[in-house]
Parts: sequence; C-alpha cells; structure tokens
Amino acid sequence: MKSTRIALFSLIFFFSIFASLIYGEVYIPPSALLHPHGVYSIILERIRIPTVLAAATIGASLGVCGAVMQMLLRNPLMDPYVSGTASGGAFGAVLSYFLLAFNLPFAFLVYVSPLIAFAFALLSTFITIAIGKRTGVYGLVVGGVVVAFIFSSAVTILTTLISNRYPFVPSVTFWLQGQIVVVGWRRDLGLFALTAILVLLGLRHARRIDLVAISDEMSYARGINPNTYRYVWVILVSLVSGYIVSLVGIVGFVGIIVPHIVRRTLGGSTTKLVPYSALLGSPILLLANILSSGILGTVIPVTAITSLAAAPIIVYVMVRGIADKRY
Amino acid sequence: MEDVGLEFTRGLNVILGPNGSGKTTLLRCIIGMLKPQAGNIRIEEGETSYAPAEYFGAEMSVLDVLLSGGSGRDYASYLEPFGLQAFLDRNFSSLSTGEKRMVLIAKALAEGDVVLMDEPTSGLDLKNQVKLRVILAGIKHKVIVASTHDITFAQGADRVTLLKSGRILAHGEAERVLTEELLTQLYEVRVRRVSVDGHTLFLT
Repeated sequence: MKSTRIALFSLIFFFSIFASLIYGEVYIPPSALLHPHGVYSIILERIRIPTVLAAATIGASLGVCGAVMQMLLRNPLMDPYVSGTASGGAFGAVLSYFLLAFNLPFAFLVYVSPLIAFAFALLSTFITIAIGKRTGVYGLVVGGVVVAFIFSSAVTILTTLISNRYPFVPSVTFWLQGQIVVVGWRRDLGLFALTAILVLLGLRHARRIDLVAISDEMSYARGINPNTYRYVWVILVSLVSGYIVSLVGIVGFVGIIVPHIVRRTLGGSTTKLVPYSALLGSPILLLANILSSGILGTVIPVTAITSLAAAPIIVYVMVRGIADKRY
Repeated sequence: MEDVGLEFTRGLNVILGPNGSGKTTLLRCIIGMLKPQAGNIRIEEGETSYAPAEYFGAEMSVLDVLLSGGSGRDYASYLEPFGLQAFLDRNFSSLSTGEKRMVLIAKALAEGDVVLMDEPTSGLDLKNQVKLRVILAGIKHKVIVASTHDITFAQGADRVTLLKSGRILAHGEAERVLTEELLTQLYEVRVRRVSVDGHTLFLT
C-alpha cells in the first residue's frame, strides 16, 4: 500500500534525525538532547545540529537532483556525481583557493568559492552531455566518467600544489570523497534556501518534466522547447551541486540510489519522485554520515559509504536491462 | 522539402508517402521543432498536440502519462473508445507497443484542437487499426493531420496529400487523389485499384 510506504519513509526520516543527533564522534545520550548541558550543549549547538541539518538538506537536494536528471536525460543511472557535475564543482572550489595567492582575504573565499564551483560544475556537465548524448544510455555515463577523471585528477594536482603553501586548504580526500562537518549556522541557511527552491520548482514543473522525458515532439507541440528546458534545469542542478561541493566535497550516488527506490515503491512520475526523493534522500545521507563521522572509530569519507550502498543498485539496473529503455 | 504549400482544415487530413519522403519532417515543422528555411507555418487557432512514432517508455503510470504536460483537458471521453480505462494504474513501460501508441494517440486527441499524428497505425493490430479509423472518422471538429504510408488508412481521410521526395505530388479529396497513376508514381511500384463488393482495394 502506497500510504504505508510513505509512512515508512517518514518514520525513517525522523529516526535518522534522532540517530544523527545521538551518534557521532561523541556519543550524546538522548536525555542530553532534551536537557543539554555543559559540553553536550556546545557540541549540539555548534557542530551536531548544524551538521545534521546540512546532511539532511544535502541528502534531499541530491535526491531531487538525481531524480530530475534521470527524467530529463532519460537515464536511470544519472546523478550529479555520475554526470561529472560534482567533479567539476570540486575543481572550481579548489581553484578558488588559488585566489589566496593574490592576497585576497580568506573571508572573501566563502562567497567566491561556491560561485566558481558552480561555473565549473556547469562546464563539466555540458561537456558530459556533449560527449554522451548521441550514444544511448551508457554514452552519458561514459562521458561523465571521463569528465570526472579529468576534473578529479586536476583537483588532485591543484590541491597538492596549494597545500604546501596553504596547509589549511582541505585535503584531496575531502574534495573527492566528501566529509560533512559543519560548524556554525550560516552555511545551513544557504543550503536550506537552495534545497527549498529546488524542491518547490521541481513540484511545480513535475508534469512538464514528465512530458519532456516522454517525447521531445510532444513537448514542442505543447509549447515547451525540450532542449532549452533541459539546459535550464542543468544550470539549476549545477548551482546546487556546486554549492554543496564547495561546502562538503563530492558526495556521490545519493542521486542514483534514492530515485530508484522511490520509482520502485511509489511510481516514476516526477510528481512522486521530487517530494519522496527529498524525503528519502535526507535519511540515507544522515545514516551514511553517522557511519562516516567517527562511530566506527575513525572518520571515513562519506562517498566511500554511499558508493558501496549504490553498487548493488547500479548492478541491478544494468543486469535487468532496465537501462536499455531508449527509443 | 520544396514548394510545400498546403492548408489543413477540420477533419482527417492524411499525408501519404513512402519512407523518407519527408512526412515526419513536415509534422516537425508544424510543431516548431524544425524551422523552415523560407516561408512560414500558421496555426489559426487552438492548442496543438502530437502523437509521436518514437518516444521514451517512461516508468510511470498510464494516468501520469496522460496528465503529463498538465493540459487540464478531460481524457475520459477518449479513453473509452480505445478501451483504456482499465489501464490507468498500469506502468506505461510494461504495456505492449500497440497499447502504448493508443495511450499517446488518446492523449493527443484529448489535448489538441490541431492533432498531429506520426504513422498512427504502425504497431497496431487489425482490430485496433479499425478502432482508430472509426474513432478518427467520428471527430469532425478538430484538425487532424496524420502521416502514413498505409493506403487503407488514407482512404478514410477527408483530404489526402501525396508527398514524394519532399514535394507535393497531389492534394485533394481521397477519391480524386488515390488513383492508380498517382499511387504508382508515388511508390514506384505498379499499384492497381480494384472494386470488390462496393469496397475499393489497392493491390500491388
């Protein structure tokens, strides 16, 4: 029953928020959540709650980005990571640190970094689409892999070069594999705003996205230019992905896992994919982040965990030939 | 394509032509997907809709496919003649080719005042082809433009346009245009027109 599944997703959502508040590098007992005191209060207010909110909004955003990309690009294996978008964003973010060499104040970087990340996230996505669009479903995936190789390598090289001079620049592992630790509330506001815009626009345009997915000709007949439409959404997805990457590095595969589960349990129309990918994306990233943030004794990059979770789904999609649903 | 000057009015207009003659190209020009190098295309009034020959078999319910694009029109009256009411909850991608086509044709008929169809009978079995011809014959208030290479389908049209290699060979009422000479010229095979029990048949 669909309503049972929605209730289940909601339950998982609330449970994961609760679990993320308790578990982490420092265990906070549930009683301390209700009456925070001493060091627990500091951890909760400055680190734990902002991190939980960040992971929840990032998970929701990535889920929705994946869903929209999969519909518009007619490809069940797409998400901002596979498409090379995130890798381009990481490159842009690292490149912005070079501005430090021109004696720009570090505080400036907070505003500039997401913008440059967005520019390169957009560029890398366009390159992937240009490479892959004519060669069927796997064309985009291969294009994305190639683009990700290029930009990830560039990130590695740049980071290694800069870190000698500026040791506070985040490491290669941070950029390429992600780490969600947020201190303070300012970043959360930006994340929340972008996520809200993404979800609201996605809901408003859901029927149109469905139409563009089914047929370009039908879209033209209804007054929608499907190519322009795709580019506008790619720009929005790149903006959101670029911002996320500049904050927490590359978080991969959430955009593949989540829409797939929603499609199998609640149906594949964008009207369902957008809201429920947001609802399910949060807990999946929150739970992955619990594993990532020290509960296993040490900090593990979050993409390592999400990619292990995504692997069986990707294999399933490929083996079942679901991906071969082209014209 | 060259020198294409045509007018399509209410009722069933069929564009008949062999493969590669430019039928789909013409339809795509009408919806604005392709831009003509010279001349213009005008749609006098009403909404346009399109039933394509190729489309992505999306993983959503038939109802969601019908509602895609959000036109707000009423589909119910077009579902019944096609027998599609029972299909609403089914996954579109799991339907047979013919069933999918009928869903998209029903959607186009419900949504458009100017309805374009690309090879609507292809993929349909005999029973559904007959069903479609009956349904289209009954719709007189819409402008329906259908491309086909199926002569039997063209016989039911109010007006037929013969398209060969991007040029108009003939245009007018089905009776006057579907002649042995013109069809032989169109298809480059000897076509014979025969009368059996009051029905006109075309044989090669």
